[in-house]
Amino acid sequence: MKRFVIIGGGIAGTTAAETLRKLSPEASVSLIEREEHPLYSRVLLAKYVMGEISREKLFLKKPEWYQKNNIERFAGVEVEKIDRKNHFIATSEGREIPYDVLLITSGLDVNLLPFDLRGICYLRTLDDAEYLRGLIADRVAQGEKSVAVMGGSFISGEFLNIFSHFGFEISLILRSGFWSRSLSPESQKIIVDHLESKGIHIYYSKDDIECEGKEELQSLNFENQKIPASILGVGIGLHADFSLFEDSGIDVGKGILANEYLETNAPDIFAAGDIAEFNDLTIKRSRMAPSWTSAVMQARTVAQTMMGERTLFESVSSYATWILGLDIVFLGDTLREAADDVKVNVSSGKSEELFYRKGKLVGAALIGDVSRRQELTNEIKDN
Amino acid sequence: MKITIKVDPDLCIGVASCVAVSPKVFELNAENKAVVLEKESTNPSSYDRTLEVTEEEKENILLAAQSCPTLAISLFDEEGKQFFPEL
Repeated sequence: MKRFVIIGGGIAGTTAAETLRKLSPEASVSLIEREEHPLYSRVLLAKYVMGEISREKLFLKKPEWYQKNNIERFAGVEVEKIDRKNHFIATSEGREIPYDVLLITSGLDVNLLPFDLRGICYLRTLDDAEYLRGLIADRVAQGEKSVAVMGGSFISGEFLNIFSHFGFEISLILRSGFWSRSLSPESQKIIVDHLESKGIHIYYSKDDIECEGKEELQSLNFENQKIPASILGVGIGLHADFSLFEDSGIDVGKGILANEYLETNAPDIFAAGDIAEFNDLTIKRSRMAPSWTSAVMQARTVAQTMMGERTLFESVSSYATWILGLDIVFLGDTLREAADDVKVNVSSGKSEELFYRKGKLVGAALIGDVSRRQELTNEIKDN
Repeated sequence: MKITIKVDPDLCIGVASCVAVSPKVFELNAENKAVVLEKESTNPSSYDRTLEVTEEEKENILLAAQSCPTLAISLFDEEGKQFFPEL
């Protein structure tokens, strides 16, 4: 009986466990994860904070699902060592769990600010969402009006939606702009204009910001400016914590390096989900594609390969979001520096950017009008 | 066998994991919402459709529904009993 061990129980790890179980009713499948909660939808956290859905609706698996599917789950546990020679992992509980095949889906960690004040918040986990709900309730009760958001990407967009929902006066602090490694200045301006039209105050700061307050956040200082803020929603990116993997001799770049089968350099060790830096066949270069859909698709594919049926991972990645009524979609490879040519078509509050490499469409960014999403996805896939 | 697929457009946020898993059954409409395609038909797609499927196709549609982060897709058997999400 093969022993499959998965590090990380998010959507990638849980989907892989589920797929392995379907492919082999008798295999041993263990899932080791930092989270205490059963699988929940990170995508819905903002809606939960806004009170649009109940807490119960966040959960994609019931607590009994793991046992029912004979998946051994170690919750609230960290992996401290991967012993490749002797094929086991050591956990923070002091256990040694043997494996024949290991899958790493441990995801990415949020970049944190070096301040410990109540009012600074992140939005990665259910616990973050619970903290934010409590914070918002307190600030509303205290009559506090001023809040701030830091960063120009998906999570900062989520914070803007949440704070706007509760009627706060919002300041947004950007280092360079919105998705500045992907979008042209013209497209970024569409987003900025849209937010300003919704009453968001936008500031730019190349410097680090200082958070001020006694235990509770009160204000932010940057570039000789001081703005009041009783909450700061931070969305300044993610990073991979490699310490565990480097010590184990697993090759890493920006993520854990993997080929188009999601195999790492280490025999019997695979990577999937946000942490995998894989050879993306749809765009013909190695990269990370952290998104819900990529995680699901990679997990399904890698489970087949782990089971012995070597399967290529090939799926056009996509991210979709919505900021105060403005639809934004990224398809495929939208890293500007990796494109040979980008065609930008901007018109009254909408933009479409098409990213080409060697004459072929590899990515697209759509703002304001996303009706061509399916058509462009097909074009990237067929190239 | 027949199954009925219902997409709740209020829950769908255009993540498109269903389209990635099951592109022959789902696509996104101009509103960035998932809709059900009718097999070998040029009829307009719909949020709610009953399809004749093989066991393999049913399994794939179930995988698509399971992949949705908002559980916007519900599946019903021939008797109209919901089999996903499990009640």
